[in-house]
Amino acid sequence: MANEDYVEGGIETSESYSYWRKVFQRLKKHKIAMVSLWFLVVLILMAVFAGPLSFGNNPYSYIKSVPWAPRPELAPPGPGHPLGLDNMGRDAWSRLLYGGRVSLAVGFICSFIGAAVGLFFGLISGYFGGITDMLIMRFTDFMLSLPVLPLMVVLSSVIKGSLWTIIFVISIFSWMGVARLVRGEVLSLKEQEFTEAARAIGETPGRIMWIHLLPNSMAPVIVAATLAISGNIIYEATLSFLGLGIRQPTPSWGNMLNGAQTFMLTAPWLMWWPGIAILVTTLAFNFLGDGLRDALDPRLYR
Amino acid sequence: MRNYLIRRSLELIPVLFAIAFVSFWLVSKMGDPFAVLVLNPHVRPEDIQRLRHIWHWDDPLVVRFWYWLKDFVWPRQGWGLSTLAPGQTALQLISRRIPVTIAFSSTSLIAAIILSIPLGVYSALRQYSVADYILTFFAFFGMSMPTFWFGIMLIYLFAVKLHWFPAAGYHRAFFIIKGVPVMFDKAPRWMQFLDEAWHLTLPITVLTVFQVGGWLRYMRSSMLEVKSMDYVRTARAKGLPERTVIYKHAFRNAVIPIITLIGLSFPGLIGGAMITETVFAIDGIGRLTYNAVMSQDVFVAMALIMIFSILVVIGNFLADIFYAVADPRIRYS
Amino acid sequence: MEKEVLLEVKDLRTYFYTEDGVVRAVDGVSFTIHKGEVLGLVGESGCGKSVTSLSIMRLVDAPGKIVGGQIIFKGEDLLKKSEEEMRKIRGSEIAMIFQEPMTALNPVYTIGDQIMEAILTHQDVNEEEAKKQTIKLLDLVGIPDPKKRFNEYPHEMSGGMRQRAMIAMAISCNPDLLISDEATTALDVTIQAQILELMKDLQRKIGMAILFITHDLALVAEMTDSVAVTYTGKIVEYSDVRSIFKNPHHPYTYGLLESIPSLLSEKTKEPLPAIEGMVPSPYRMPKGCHFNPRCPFATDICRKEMPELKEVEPNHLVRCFHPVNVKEEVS
Ligand SMILES: Nc1ncnc2c1ncn2[C@@H]1O[C@H](COP(=O)(O)OP(=O)(O)OP(=O)(O)O)[C@@H](O)[C@H]1O
Ligand code: SF4
Ligand SMILES: [Mg+2]
Repeated sequence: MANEDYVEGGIETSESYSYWRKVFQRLKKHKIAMVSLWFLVVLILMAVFAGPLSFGNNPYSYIKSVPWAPRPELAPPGPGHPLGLDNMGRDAWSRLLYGGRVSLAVGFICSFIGAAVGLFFGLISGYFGGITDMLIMRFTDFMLSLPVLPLMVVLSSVIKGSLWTIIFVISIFSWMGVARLVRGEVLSLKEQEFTEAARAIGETPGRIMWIHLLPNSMAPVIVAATLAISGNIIYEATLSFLGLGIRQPTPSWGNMLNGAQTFMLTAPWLMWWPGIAILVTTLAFNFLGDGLRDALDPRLYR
Repeated sequence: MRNYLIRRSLELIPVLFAIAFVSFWLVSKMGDPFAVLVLNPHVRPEDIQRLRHIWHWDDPLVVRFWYWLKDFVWPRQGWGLSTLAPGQTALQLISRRIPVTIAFSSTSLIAAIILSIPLGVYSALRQYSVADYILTFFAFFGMSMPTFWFGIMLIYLFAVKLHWFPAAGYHRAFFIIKGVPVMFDKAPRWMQFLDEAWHLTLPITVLTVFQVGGWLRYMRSSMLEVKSMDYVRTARAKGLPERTVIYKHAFRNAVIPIITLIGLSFPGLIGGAMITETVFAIDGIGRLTYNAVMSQDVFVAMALIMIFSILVVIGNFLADIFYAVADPRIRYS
Repeated sequence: MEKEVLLEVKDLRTYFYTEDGVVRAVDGVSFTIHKGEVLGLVGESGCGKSVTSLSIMRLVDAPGKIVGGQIIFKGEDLLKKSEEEMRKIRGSEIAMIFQEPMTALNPVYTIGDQIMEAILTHQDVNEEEAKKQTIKLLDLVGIPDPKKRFNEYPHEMSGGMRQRAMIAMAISCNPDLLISDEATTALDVTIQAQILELMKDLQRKIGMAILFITHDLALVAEMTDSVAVTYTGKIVEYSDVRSIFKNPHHPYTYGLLESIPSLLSEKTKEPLPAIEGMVPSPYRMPKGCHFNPRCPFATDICRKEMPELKEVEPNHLVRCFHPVNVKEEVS
């Protein structure tokens, strides 16, 4: 009996193979999601190859003088410096490229950590139920009733520092959604036969979670994680804008806007590009996440 | 229903307690609130010693927390002295700045609800129409827009370039009435109100757009999901007019999950208000939080974090109640 | 058979245009229901029974579309009616009970409210009168303590009670035709018997016709006057109930009857093997007779051509090249 069911588990995988192929086919039909995907690929490549794309500039060095402006600080765009120079006389284009590195990295890493922690708590909570479930869910609810941004501000002023500090600060607040999602998913998977069968043939909870529950609750997690990237990029940008995130001289899209309001009148072009970069990137992640959701959830695909 | 309310409110107490402790612990890591008082000309060294004693600042964290919480609930010490605004207590500072924050964030909360729900329904009913695509794009735009940058852009366009709205603050210092300058506080109430509305238009826009996008999309997909439910088909099979089918049977069910979503988005609203106030230089509690953190004004920051937490918890609580009212399945289970 | 014709479905075709291809859920279905008559529509899951009934109500949602045929109700083609005319017919002249009592009622309104709504829509009565009628209806369908139940929500009732409420809703405006789409499938056996009894009783009292949809032939024997057996969106056998049970001619019907031996005619001592295999995927229909992969009598022609629905006995139609003749086989 149990063995037969186990064979069915084998069929499941071949079914899930065609499932993923179908998902991909549906995603391919989702034009905006595909445009976003390609855009993001280009963006990531630009961040990776920031060096060669910088026209020989680097984001840290102060330019001594430019021929088309009296002073290098806040100089408008000109040859070799397509976006001009910032308030300290550094090349804005290369800062934008390198800033993209930081912003994207923070977005991806925080989202990954959030998804991993969320998966962990969600699986445990859903699988074991009872008091474990109650404690984890209470904790999740507690985290959800915190005023996130004020606390992030406090936190990042308490533990000042590096890229990893900011990743830590953002990640703390980015796992709750996934935990709830996964818990719900596990609760419904637990009712299904293959979980029961696996338990019947004496598989350990760890293996059941790893082999059966984790892969089967992946779909909504992927969507949530994709959407979370854009949220995390905005958090990073906001904190850096407030002067609490990525610190000078390291560039990030957020801290490039740090002084934007003060030179709004003299050098407005400096505030266009980092903002536009953040906007189109988060937009692309949101569209991609939405497309993924439609592709993974055929109920809504009509 | 009454039992449900009582039970839910009792459940809030431990949550609030935990939040209070965590935020107290975190904020007190910012620095020593008494060290900075030395620079305050209003406070004598003996006073500092006395204050330190009153707040039990040399005792362990838990004891400190206890005295702080006592004062927060029953403010005999006015929640502690501010270092940012010398001579004022945190309570004085905060209570003067809280009205504007409440006013403009609740306005934009209501505006966002009023906009997103009908637009979401409309978008769902006209799925794949031009209007749906436009709304969808607008919604994604709102969801993806970094609030602070949107604020900066609006300031640049409408304040700096077009001069339609002011760039900062939430009211002018004085009016000129019949050639005579009149202080803001002395001006007629309606003038004050109009001036504040004029100043707050851009901030409210920023905060509203920030919230509308997600809710609109959620309302849309909720409505789409409900539209294909069996009971909607039953309603049609009864021969009800399409309007009744949609607005009585589908809508009521579709709007229930939105209530939870709105309740859960209170932290976001607070964060949004904080950024908006900072960008538009509005002297509310959001900007105060930022300033307090930047200048290590420990007592003010502590009280503010606590107030925000209470607001969030109250928001969730209200959402729960609305949910229970809207969904008959809740009350008994 | 001298009765007046109430509903005549002619060559109805309802297709679903899905992302994976066209599903011909209903493909050329024809049948007739007379006033006060009960017609059974039988077939395995996925044979297009629900889609047929939704087509009659004109409630097929996208991606489904009624692409052909006529649905003549009281002499008029429902497919030619405007949405507004159709709306007036729904609930008042044709009513429907759905397969799933758990999801067919709106969870946020009381039972009473939902029944009353139908009355208020179709009858010129005030709220008080509608409420009175509703309570009477709840009583009629055997819901105890109807005054209290009026104010209860669906989740406070059992499946059986909900289905009774659905029936009350359906008969609230004395429809001429009641479509019962597997109204009892989701219920347990005793409740099922009670509900069927109730329906039979009401049918006699009110004199309405019923389109009785089920995949359970045992129920058909109890409930109906005539039977249409469907397979993959087509009718394969159509006759009055006695003739079908006594003389099933289509191998599929035969197979269905096989699963309930007590119903099969006494004479059949050597039963045919029960139907093997599954209903083919709607996207990959076999060539020829759709039943051929599962049919013990299939020959070459069955794999090439689709048989026509032909009269093999008076008033007994069968879609098969090699109809089973029970009498011959036994003798
Ligand atoms: N919304 C839809 N989209 C695509 N195909 C559909 C849809 N609804 C029904 N179908 C297809 O139409 C066919 C007939 O479905 P229908 O629901 O009428 O079956 P049924 O005979 O009522 O079965 P059951 O006994 O399970 O209720 C099925 O093959 C199904 O796949
Ligand atoms: S036509 Fe052929 S395959 Fe089809 S039912 Fe008859 S004997 Fe079987
Ligand atoms: Mg059906």
